[in-house]
Amino acid sequence: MRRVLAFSLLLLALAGPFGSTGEGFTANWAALDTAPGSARALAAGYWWGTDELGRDAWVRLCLGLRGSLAVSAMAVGLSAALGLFLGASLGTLRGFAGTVAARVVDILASMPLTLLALVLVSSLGRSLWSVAAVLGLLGCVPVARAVRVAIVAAQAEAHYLVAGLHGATSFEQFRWTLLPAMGSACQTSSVLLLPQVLIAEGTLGFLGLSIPDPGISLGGLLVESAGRATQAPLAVVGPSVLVFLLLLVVRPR
Amino acid sequence: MPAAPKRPNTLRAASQEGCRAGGRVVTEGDRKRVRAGIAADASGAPAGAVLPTVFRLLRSVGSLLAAALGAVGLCLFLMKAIAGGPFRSEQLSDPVLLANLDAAFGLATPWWQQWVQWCAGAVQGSLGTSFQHRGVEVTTLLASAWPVSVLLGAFALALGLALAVPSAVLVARARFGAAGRRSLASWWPTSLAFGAFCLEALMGALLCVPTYVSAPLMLVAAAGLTELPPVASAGDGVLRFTQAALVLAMPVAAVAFRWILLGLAEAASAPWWTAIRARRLSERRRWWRYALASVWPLLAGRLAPLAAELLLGSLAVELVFGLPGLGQLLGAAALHRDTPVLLGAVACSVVTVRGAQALADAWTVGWTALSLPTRNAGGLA
Repeated sequence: MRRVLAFSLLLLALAGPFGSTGEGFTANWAALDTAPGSARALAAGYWWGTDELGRDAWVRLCLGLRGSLAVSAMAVGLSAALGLFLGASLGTLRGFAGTVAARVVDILASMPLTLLALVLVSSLGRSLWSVAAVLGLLGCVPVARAVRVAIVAAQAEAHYLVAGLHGATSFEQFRWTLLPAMGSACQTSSVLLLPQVLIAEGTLGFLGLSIPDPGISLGGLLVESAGRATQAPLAVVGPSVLVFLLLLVVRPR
Repeated sequence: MPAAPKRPNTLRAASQEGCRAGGRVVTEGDRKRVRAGIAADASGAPAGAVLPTVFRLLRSVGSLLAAALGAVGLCLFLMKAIAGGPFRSEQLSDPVLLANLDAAFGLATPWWQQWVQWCAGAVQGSLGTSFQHRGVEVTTLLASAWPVSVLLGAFALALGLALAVPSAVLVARARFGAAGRRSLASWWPTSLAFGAFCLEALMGALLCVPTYVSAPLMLVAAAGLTELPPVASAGDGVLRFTQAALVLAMPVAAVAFRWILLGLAEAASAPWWTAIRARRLSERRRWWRYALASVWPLLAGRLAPLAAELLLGSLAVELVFGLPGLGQLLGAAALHRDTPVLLGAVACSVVTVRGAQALADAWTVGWTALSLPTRNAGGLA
């Protein structure tokens, strides 16, 4: 069931704009602010209505889903790469350097996600890449912690010690005993990170700090539609349902 | 070099002693011994040693301060590294004027000097004055915004727990209680099973609704029900507050429900649960008094980060419902580059997050110390 839902959402993000004749970026002054399913919208050829600039709401909904998915995927990929590197450093560094690295991760982990994202996005500027970089940087902390725990656990395993006793070099020990454990931990924590990143991206979009125009994300769409919630409630329901379905797909059971 | 004598595991010894207490009533002496054993196991020192505990406490406080100061330094570095500033705007473009403004507000110095100045001010109890609200102390701004967020967060937490606890107990009774073992032919187990299924589905769905989705939907629903305008006027503060608390309570209820249910499942499979069942107490008393008591330590640890976030205010919810809380203050400070407010808020948030976690840990240890002898002895005093 989850796979079907995931495939449907992916299909909607990629091929959904072809389901309408309208434009997602071009304003149509003849059909401004029409509610989904209303007579005005249907007459103008927009079955899901238009926004206050006359852009096709259905196309924008699909583009918003595409934008959210793209940013989240990039952020999770970056988190995995950064977390793998940081976790390996934390797991293998000893002494003062190890303590400093652990405190740095502690500082990052104890700062509120939204606040740090606000600071970073407002400082780096709004773009698809900067939003993905910020979310990736913030998301790397749990991945790094999971990788560190996996390394420490693997170093206490008998096969790691036996490999050392049989003369394996540090690289060989790392390659054949630590790396598989790290990969598994990184994969698991990255999957668990996906819903958090989606929520964080939506929050940024809601605050106007996610993908800038002409791009759009689901959070940004929610802000747009919240202003005319009483005139067109379905415009709010559309992105809300998509966020709900996305989280339903990616949430761990 | 002779090997150091092995330190006896005082916690285990106390637990075994508690088990041996068997039929007799657990006394206050038993409780004290177990508490001392846990403290000794945690500090790595013999029971009764005070100095290591003090040392651990000081180390925790030092770590907390280091994290807060580190976070402040990180924020200052980021603010300094980026182009622009709080006074850059289209109206103010004269470079001499901007340089004078930067010098007057202490922004011309390197970030580490600003950090040292901020630390010195913080030691004296001053976090500086806001750039955005000219002349207003940061402490005054925080003191006016924080109560709103704390009240909202506490109300949401209480509401979430009030929703989650009965739901989890109901589902646990349907799954692991007497009703779960009975035939579904009679009406009571069938309705209980159906109710449990609905509750689980509802809580699972609530997990998938972030606050930035539920807040506008709540506005739409409220507008539909009461025909109020979506942006509330000044007269209906209580309504806005209740709606915001309800929105924040939803994820809390969903997360708490999961952990309480997990704890209840563990309790139902524990050996002491069999002893309690043998006492032939009513099922309601077994679940509400004994099974639920074993859940609190687990729940405290899991809910602590969430509670800290709630107490720091939710930016999206405060924006949507127009509540002047800490979240809104932080958002505005970050967007307008109001560095003093941002630094004060970051320090507050780090202290709150780490403090909440430390409190939860302390409570878990205390709760375990108080409840362990009772459970080990099967005592139902």
